[in-house]
Amino acid sequence: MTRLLAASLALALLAGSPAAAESDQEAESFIRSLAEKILRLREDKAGEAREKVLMELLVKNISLSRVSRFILGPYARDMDKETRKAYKELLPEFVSKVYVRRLLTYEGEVSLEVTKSVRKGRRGREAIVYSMATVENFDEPIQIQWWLLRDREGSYKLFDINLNGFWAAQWQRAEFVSQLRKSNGDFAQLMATMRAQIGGAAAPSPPGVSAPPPAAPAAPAAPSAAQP
Amino acid sequence: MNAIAVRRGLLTRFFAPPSCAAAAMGVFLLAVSGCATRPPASDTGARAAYEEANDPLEPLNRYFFELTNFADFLFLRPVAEVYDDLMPRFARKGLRNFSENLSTPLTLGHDILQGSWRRAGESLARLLLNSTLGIAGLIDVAAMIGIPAHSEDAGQTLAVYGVPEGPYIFLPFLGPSSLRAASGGVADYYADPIGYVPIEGRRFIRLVAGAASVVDFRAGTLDVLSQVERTSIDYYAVLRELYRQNRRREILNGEIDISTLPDLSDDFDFDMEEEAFHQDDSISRGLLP
Repeated sequence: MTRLLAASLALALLAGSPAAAESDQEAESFIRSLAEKILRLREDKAGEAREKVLMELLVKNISLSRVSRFILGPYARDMDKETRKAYKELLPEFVSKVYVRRLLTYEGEVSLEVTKSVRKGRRGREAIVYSMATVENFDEPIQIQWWLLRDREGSYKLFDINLNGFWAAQWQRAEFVSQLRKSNGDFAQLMATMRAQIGGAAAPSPPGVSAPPPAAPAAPAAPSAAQP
Repeated sequence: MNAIAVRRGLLTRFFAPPSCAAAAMGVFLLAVSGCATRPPASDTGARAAYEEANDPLEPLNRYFFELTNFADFLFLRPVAEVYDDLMPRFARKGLRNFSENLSTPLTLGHDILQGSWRRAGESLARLLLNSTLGIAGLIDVAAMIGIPAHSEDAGQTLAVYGVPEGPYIFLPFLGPSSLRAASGGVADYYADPIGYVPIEGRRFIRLVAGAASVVDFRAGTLDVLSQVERTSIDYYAVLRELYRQNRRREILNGEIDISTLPDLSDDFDFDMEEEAFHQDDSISRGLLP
């Protein structure tokens, strides 16, 4: 028994560490700075002032053109210029109220530690920054990965964020594409739904529901819960 | 230990063979009338969205989803709420540990089949430590000394060997799956070493452990699923997407495979706001297998 245990532990330690990929210190600094600004908002501002600053932060730091196109999936090409303009104006508010506000309204302590980064893309214009958020009342820290794009001037913008294994833009895309499929590509209906969600997010949430950020548990899944 | 580990193996504990034939026949008949209509090639957006969803049985799947949701509302959620209120934290933890320990032999087998020797060593160490010092798995001694739990199943092993995921399937009362994962679940039912241990009341122990795991998992997701449902435009589509992302993560053992993410900077210049809308769909396809 002891030998078997020793052998299994030795086996467990046999794994070699993977070769280190090139890190991106600037990308890491960008995320530290962005996270600090968002978390500081929780303390410094309230109400409309906070909403305003948050919107400015999002517009400045998210690659809205990329994200807005991506989450429309194959339907993006079918959107005319006028609708596109309205849609792109609506998106920052949607992201702000449906996603980020949950973090701001959470009353527990939240801290973020950047752990590493990896450059990607042949031109090195993308980076994945790994971080870990510690949230009060959560048993385990939340693993967060940030997918960043760097423009010609060297400025970074956020394209997608992965919370505990779930890419947010892909999640949103699944919803939008499904809605567009059901409505035969009716963008007006999609934007009406977005506005309704913005309105719904503005309303107070039931007790106990608004507290944790959406991707905090290990894995959202089906109600009946079996996953073969 | 996370919720995934708790859930893993539930199918193997509940998928009783005698009910399979009748269920399969019923599913077949429903499937014939429940196929989604493939949009014509001329409707490029809808056609691409259809292919991307990889859900040819969507009407049938949505029916099963609603049925399952209703059953959840009537039975499972109320039980889970009571459990959540009354069950002490240490007891819940013990239950999860016990259930996870029961599934460790199967995980060990898949670790070996996947050639993952480090994880096989961890599984073996966990099994030995937790079954003995951990009092039949009730205490996760291995985690205390830095050997965390992980889970593997036949669906993941098939994926490692390159078997494609296949279409999405929503199994009534069991949840989201795929052809590959569901087939793997059936294989796991027969392959699980616990099913062959010669002890009295083996089936009963597996049944009770499985049922308790379902309730425990549901209790742990009451808030988050309620929130996802409340904020979703299409709850069914969201769960389908989350299921797929989660499975990808499980197959990669929790890692992000950067090589599977598309190279955005090579495809177009994201400084150009308007042009981003007219890009090739390769980026979209690259992100969604």
